[in-house]
Amino acid sequence: MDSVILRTEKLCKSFSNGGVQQHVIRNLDLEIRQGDFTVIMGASGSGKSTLLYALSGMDKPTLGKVFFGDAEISAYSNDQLALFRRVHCGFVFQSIYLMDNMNVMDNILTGALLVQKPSEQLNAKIRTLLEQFGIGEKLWSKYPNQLSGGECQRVGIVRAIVNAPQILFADEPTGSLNSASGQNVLDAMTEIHRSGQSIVMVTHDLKTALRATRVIYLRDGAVSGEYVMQPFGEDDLQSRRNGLQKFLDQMGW
Amino acid sequence: MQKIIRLTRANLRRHKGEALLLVLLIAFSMCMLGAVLVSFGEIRDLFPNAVKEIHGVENLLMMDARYFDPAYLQLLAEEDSVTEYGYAELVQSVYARCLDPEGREQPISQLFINQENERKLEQSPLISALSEAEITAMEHPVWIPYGLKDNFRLNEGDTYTVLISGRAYPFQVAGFYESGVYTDSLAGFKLIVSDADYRVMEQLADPAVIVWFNTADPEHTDTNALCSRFISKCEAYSQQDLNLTVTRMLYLQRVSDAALEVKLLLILMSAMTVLVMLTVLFIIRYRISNDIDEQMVSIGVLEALGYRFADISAMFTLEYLLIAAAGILIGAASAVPVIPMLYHLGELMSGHHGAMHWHFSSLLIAAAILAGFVLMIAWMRARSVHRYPPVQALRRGIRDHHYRKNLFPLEKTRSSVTARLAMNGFMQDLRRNIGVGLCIMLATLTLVFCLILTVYTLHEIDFMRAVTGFEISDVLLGVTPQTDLDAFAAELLEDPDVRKVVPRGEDHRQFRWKERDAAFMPQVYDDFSQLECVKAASGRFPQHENEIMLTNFDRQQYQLRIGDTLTLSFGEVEKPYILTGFAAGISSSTVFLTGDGFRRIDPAYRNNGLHVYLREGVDREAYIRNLSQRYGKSAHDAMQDAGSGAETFEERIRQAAQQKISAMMQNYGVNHVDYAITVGDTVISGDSSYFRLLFADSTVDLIQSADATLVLAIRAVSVLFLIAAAMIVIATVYVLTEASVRKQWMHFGIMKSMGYTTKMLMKQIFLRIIPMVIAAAVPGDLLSVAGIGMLSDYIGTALISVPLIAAANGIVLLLAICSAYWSARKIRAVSVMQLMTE
Ligand SMILES: Nc1ncnc2c1ncn2[C@@H]1O[C@H](COP(=O)(O)OP(=O)(O)O)[C@@H](O)[C@H]1O
Ligand SMILES: [Mg+2]
Repeated sequence: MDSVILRTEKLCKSFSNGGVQQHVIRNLDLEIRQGDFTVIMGASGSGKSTLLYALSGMDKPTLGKVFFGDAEISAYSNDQLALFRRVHCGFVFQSIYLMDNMNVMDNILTGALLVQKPSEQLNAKIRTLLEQFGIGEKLWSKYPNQLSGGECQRVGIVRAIVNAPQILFADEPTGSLNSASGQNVLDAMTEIHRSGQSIVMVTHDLKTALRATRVIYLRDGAVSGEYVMQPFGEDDLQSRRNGLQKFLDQMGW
Repeated sequence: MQKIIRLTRANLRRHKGEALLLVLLIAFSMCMLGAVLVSFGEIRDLFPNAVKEIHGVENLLMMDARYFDPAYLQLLAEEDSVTEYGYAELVQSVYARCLDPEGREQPISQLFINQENERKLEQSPLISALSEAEITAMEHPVWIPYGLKDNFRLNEGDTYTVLISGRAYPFQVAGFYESGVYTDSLAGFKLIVSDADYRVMEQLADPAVIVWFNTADPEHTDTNALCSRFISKCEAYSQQDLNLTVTRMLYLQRVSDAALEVKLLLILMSAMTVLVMLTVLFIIRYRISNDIDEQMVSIGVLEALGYRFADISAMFTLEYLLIAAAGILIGAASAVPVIPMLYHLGELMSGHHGAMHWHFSSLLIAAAILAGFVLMIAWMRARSVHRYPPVQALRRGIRDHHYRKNLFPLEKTRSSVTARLAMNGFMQDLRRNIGVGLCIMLATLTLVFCLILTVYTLHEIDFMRAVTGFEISDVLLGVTPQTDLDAFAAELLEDPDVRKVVPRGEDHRQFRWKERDAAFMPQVYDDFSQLECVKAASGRFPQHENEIMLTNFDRQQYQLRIGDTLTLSFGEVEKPYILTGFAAGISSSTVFLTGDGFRRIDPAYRNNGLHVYLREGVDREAYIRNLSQRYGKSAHDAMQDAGSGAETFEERIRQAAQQKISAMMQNYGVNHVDYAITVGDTVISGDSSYFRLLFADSTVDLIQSADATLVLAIRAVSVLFLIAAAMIVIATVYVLTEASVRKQWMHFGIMKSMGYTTKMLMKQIFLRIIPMVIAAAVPGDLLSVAGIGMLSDYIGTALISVPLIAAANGIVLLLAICSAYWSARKIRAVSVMQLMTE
């Protein structure tokens, strides 16, 4: 359970904003371990999303390297990166990025069929997953506009894990949901983690971060601290909250 | 308002490519429509104006001077509707030839008139760049009508050589004049010569008289009936058969003949404009719908701020009005050089010159039509924002809940996701796709049609052979009356260069069909099955002496049917003939019959010529030279031999005798001549049996000079249509692709995050568009095949060519692929990063 699946070496990412170089990530070294529920925290604009996109092969670093196992994905071509994402990554976004011209099933199948052969088993598997995440049969042929935000996000999660990715990435998945829906989504994420899924999630919300087994705090584009916890539910929630709160206070949150 | 303009500008900037395409399409339409509107009236009036300008006479009857009697004029005066009348003398040489700028002999009939007689017909000013002194210094000055000037590209001071009975008569071009009659190579050209030269010509060719009359109301007078009446009276008066010698040239007919080709050209150009504007219509409707969909939220915001629907519709409309304005300006600017070109083409085709007036008002009308059209379709489409009240717009709308049935759920997919997604995308835009498909269908139809026409006209002779409906062989021979045609044909056939020889007959006298007051020129063949260009579009060729075939054109003109009986008259004789069929092709006023059929009405008739078909690769000119040497002098050769070849005194005498004999045979129909010339003690004798040839023409050269402008015009229009069709394909596919990509921009981002590659997404777009292009091209092909089939039936030659249709479809597909690729390229710029939100 302790093997490293993602690793960065002196990762740098800068943007030129109107001619001014802005170094968002600076010489960042980080390891993501198999089975962890890693949460990346930090102030707004500290580069959390940027880091997540670099880790997941959505974007290429300016300098430094990103390794997936032994493969240096930072040296991949765009098509290789697409293939990498297809097979190894799942993604949940903050805004609920479902395709509004497709119904629930088709939204999920659009991702699933990239990796798996069309079959009735696959359809059945998706249906089971949907049921499991509280999306009842009534909703399967509905379109995103006909669902609530939380339902949409759970569909998004099913779409992200349907190909059994090595890592599930999530960028503030609860950011645009009300607290009840957010809670539902977090429960779903915790459930997935419990079944062995490695997760890397970005958030700036304490309640969300509580679900993690490992919290990484980002400041000025570098890791400024790290905090490890038991899997959610295996310890006392109040002390868990206090511990995390203390860590974050130290970090200057 | 400020805000509306700002939004419009932003929209334009966002759709640069599409805006540019629309501007181009509208510019093209404006150029065509403007050119048509400005020049239509001008070109149509070229001939009537020319006649008015030179105070030309309206109706003319041309007759052999031998049959003319000044007393006829009194008979003309008896007609109530005739207001003015008179006559003029001139000389006609039907069998004359002239040398074209390349020095080739052209069989174009020539008419010679002196200035005094010319002024009786028309008062055209004689225009010359030369001084009075220079013209007076000329030995044989000639004034040339504009039609001939344009045909042969003549200038003042050039030599214009007329060949009559084997002798060359070089004239010096003094200048040019506008003429109302005899202004094209089919009818011949009227040359104004000096009195001295006129007297020479009177001896060489046939003196003729033109009787003319004007009527009070030229538009509504039945001058044809008037002529028939007049000729009958003349016949009664003179106890002579005149019908065969009189040629009518009536005003209304002349007016419609003069502008026929140009009118056709202009109609085709208008059709092209309609086609392009149809595309503009689809594109604008499509674009506005997409824009409204896309900007539903901004629309909602604007509405929430208190903008009225009309304001927002105006915003979308304004964009297209600006585009239309740009297109119209560019189009009008490009019409400025096109209009004079078109006008000049009109001058070339009609054989008349005129001063073109720039009717800027017509350009304004064209601009107003186009602007109005664009405004109307844009406004009508933009009004659909009514359907989105602010709440719905803001919530990204009601519309989204009216999803069509999911026809291709991915659950049912058994093959490629990409194909399935493409199908879905296609179905969601079904209605708009049908519009675009319609454009592509029309474009394919046009492309197939025009490509075939263009390719067929590339080889003029084959095209003319296919469409004229007349027999076009390699060499056309006229034989002397005493020649035994069959024996001569057999003799010619012994030459290994000759593939086939077909006897033919031609007569310059017409058959008349009295009931309908129609005239037909006879084409006589004993065995029609031998012919290669004359084909029966329906029915069969005449075989028996009481059978005739007319043309497809006449069938329509007179509503005839196979089996009808027509009573035709030839001179004073009348005979009924049964119609066996109709000849294919664009010929008209022609009656096809057998030699026996002709002898039924004129027992003296004999076939008088041969079609010679040479084997592949045989040089026509060389063959003709060889032929003349063996069987007699054709005009050209006799002229060349005039000074050379004859070495001894006796040879020179013989040559002179032969020239005299050939002149007598050609001009006076002399059958046989024996001669004996005594010089001192020597008697030089001979006869005309040496002469079997009256003329030998390369049919190909003849056709080439006569119909070059027609072929040129067909080709020009075809090429223009090809360009228009190509633009339509490019524009519609571009717009469709562009819109699909823009609409799916976010989706493509999501898909990229899931691991879809740019290539897969481009493939998806291609799969959505290209099958539609193909599906639209197929009915386009079918329609064009049907159209070409009809045309083929009419002209009697199968124009359908599978390779060409395939090529046209290939072009459509290639253009569509390139255009789709050009705009689908933008998918590369779709980034997963755009999904990042903060
Ligand atoms: N594509 C980009 N171009 C320019 N600047 C960017 C881009 N993406 C992110 N940034 C900048 O990088 C910084 C970090 O952004 P981000 O990683 O989104 O922060 P957060 O930690 O809030 O997710 C921000 O200041 C942002 O403006
Ligand atoms: Mg972020």
